[in-house]
Amino acid sequence: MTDIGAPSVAAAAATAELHEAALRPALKAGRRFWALFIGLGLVAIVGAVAYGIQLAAGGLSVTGYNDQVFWASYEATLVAFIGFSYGGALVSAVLRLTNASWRGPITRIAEVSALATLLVGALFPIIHLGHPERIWLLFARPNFQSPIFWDMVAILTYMLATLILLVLPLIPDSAMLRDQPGLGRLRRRLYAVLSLGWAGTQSQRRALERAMTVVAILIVPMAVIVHTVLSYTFSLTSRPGWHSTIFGPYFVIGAVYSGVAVVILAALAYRRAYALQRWIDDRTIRNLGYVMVVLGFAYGYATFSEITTEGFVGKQAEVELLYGLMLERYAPLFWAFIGLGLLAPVALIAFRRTRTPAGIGLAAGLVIAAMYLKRLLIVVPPLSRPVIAGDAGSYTPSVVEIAIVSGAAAGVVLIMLFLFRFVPVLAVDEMEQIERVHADSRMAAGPRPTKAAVALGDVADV
Amino acid sequence: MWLMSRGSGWRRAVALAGASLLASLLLPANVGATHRGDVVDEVTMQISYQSSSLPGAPGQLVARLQVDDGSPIAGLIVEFWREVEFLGPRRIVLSRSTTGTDGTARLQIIPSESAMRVGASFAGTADYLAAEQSTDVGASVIPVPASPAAVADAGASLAVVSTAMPLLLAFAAFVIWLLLIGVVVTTVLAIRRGRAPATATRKVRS
Repeated sequence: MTDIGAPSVAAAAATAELHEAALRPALKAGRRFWALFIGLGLVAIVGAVAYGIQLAAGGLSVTGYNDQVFWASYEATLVAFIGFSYGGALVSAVLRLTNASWRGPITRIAEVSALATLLVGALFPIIHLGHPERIWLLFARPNFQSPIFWDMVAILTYMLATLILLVLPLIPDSAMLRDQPGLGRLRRRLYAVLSLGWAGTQSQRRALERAMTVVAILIVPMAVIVHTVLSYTFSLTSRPGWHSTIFGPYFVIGAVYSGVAVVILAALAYRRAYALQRWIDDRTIRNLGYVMVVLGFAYGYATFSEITTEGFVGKQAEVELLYGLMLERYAPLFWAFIGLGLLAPVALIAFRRTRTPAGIGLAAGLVIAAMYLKRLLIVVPPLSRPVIAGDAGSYTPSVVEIAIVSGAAAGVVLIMLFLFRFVPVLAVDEMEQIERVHADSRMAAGPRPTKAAVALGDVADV
Repeated sequence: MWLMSRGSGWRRAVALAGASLLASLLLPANVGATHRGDVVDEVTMQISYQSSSLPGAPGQLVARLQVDDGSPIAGLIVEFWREVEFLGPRRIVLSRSTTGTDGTARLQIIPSESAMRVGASFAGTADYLAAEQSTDVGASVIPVPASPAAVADAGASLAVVSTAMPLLLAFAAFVIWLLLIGVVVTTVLAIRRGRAPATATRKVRS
């Protein structure tokens, strides 16, 4: 009896510990949490005020935009944030579809970061409008030939899918929360509604797993489409530097690359703040780091391919642009991107000594910053070179723009902090299911010989 | 193992192949040089660009090969190229063409930029020395395809695509929305239906 009872007691304790850990961000809001929340809130408020100033000024005259460079930070932020979102959703969906056993602790963080970045990123087409009240014309008088219209359709569809990807796995977790002692009545009622009467029966599990598989399968091509359509906003123009067939996949790879970096940073932040090292362990962070490195190579290859293809043909306009980018005006920024966004992260993760959570976190931070810079380099240099006639344009972001973009970045973190006040940071049910499957397979395989036994040649006796 | 056991024969075969290769490289040059008693003529190349009077229509890049006395040389291959500058000057071969009885080789081009350096090269043969010439051409207007009729035809067939494509995309988006909402609705219903433990349901049924 004791032999059977002991592991079950241990398992129950482990389950209780997991439940407690998953709810730490929801239940424990210390002084540091509120300091961060208020600080970010202030940045977001400054951003909102800056947007108010932009509206009061009658449009983009308060930004650094001009006749030549008529797209800049807002478009770069749109592409960057949708990209961050794509990475989060793809990490969750692909790891689910491939049944990766280490996915459990990070899927929830990936899904929440995907939704938060998408919600904020989708605001930027509106922020870019001098007259945002005209957004309704996109619905009222759609131009079906315009990539902008399809951008809107793709982003809204992707938003729905991301929301479903987050909400469906929350059903069993909400049931767990519903039964958790020490929660307020309001929260308990909310979880009771969200749990839909989940009892963990086989038919419920089957229905949920089927739905999750369908959504995970759908979200992969959908995310590819969203970012390809987003790239069409640039590549379907005849402007040198934008009109490129590689832009679709280039945007998609860039999106996943930067998105994985966001997931790494978010996972590291929550792991440290709420002492979740036991669940979001070093192996999980390392695996994400490897994924990021592979994507970094892919993005470097795409960058090389783009430059080589355009440079080889040697059309005057494109060569001027490439010279400007690589050797002249924008060279410091371009090489900063190559060094900090591609080489440094790979180096940090390649060497065992720096392949620590801190090193991988630094690599992820560099990737996020460098990829934002790259988006600016995609948008601004081709515009600064006039297509018909006139002098080369220049662009310096205004204080209003910087405030709005900073406010948006703060908004993403705020949304994540807010959501994790209600949502368990770890996908508890999923982790338990994975553990159950592993325990079953361990049982089926029987006891495994120890390394020592193998070394002593005792395997046959085991 | 097979090569090792036949080591000496294999070495002989390699030596023979090497000798054959050397002979094939040297012999034609010797044969050509002696073909006309070691006389190699100097060749003059003239290059000109004849632009079209129609805006956007292709112009003709004409290279003429002649010997010193001005007589044209027929049947020689001329390579047309374009000079580009990206991290150093480089040539992109546009086409190769053979000179006719008047000694000219032609290439139709539509200059896509305001200034392009194009040229033609003759690599030389056993009888004639190599020659090369280049010139600047430029587009005064943005190039458009040459034949208005072809454009109209292409436009007519593409009109179907431009009408159908948005409809197809809209249909695809509609199907995805339907699928996503369907998944949510069926899952919610299935979870609500499956609230009773499975064992109890089976007992009731039995």
